[in-house]
Amino acid sequence: MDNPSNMLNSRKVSLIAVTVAASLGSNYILIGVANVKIMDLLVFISGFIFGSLIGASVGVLIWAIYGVLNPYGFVPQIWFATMLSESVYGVVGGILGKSLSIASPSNNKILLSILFGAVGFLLTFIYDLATNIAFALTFNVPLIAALITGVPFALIHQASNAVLFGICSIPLLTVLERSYRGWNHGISKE
Amino acid sequence: MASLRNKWFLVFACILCWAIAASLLSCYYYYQYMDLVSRLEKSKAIINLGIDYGNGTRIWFNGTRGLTLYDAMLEAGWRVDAESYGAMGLYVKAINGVEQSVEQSMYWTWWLWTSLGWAHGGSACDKYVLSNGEVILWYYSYVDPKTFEMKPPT
Repeated sequence: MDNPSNMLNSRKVSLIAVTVAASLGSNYILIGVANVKIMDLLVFISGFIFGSLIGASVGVLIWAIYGVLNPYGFVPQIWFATMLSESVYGVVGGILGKSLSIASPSNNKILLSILFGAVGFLLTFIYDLATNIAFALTFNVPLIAALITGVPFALIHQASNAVLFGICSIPLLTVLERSYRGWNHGISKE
Repeated sequence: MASLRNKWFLVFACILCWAIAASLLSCYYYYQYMDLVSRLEKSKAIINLGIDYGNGTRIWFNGTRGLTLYDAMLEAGWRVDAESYGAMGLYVKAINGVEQSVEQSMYWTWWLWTSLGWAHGGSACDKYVLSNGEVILWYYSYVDPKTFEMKPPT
């Protein structure tokens, strides 16, 4: 007979693999749309449901593949920076997931959406800042020039993530938490 | 989550997002503006600009820089009183305190030195884009009120 905890782990791993695959697929589909990606949202949600460590791992794993097989080219320093920066979404998702319950009736859904939107915006700001600094250092571009010329792209990224986090987080988390808790048979998050 | 119950936290988060976006946009446009100014500064022409008050006094401001003739006049430190006619440009009514006189039919006109002599400037001073090495003279002179004829500077 199968060990229930092994079953749980295999389901968890499969859900993580599906999340990574969905992120990668969406990244390649949206390759022509500059800085609009649902990857960040999926990494955040992985962290929210499975905890910071797994969320961060999902972020690193996605970039480990997407950064190497990238039509825009492969630069090791940028690749490393994006892997680390992407993991921030998972880490913060995990921290929020510990203290916030989507299912709780006491939480106003509109306020939660606003909170997720703001979190998406701020995390993306940190991500863009870190990757732009890495870009400047890698290519010996003056830091201020790199940061300022990257502003239009950063703002599109931040605005799109604010909208995606604000609108999509709650429905996605509701569905995934329900599935995950259903598998858990009432077992709480690890 | 305690912070969600505290609506001020959400307000703070939203204001922080707005402040970041506004600051980024301000920095971006400031940088673009400064870059444009610096490029324009490099593309300014150097001309010889003169002024003739019609009383025998002619003063030259050699090596004056400007994008347009109006820029060069301001660069030379002239006090220019002009009226805007929209797309047609500026109409100069007085320079350095010397005003046009409708009664005496004395007006300010500008002239460009060519190989054939002085040629009347064909446009408003703020619409005329300067080229390096041009010689331009502002001339206070009599204009025939009926035919609008005027004599070129001597």
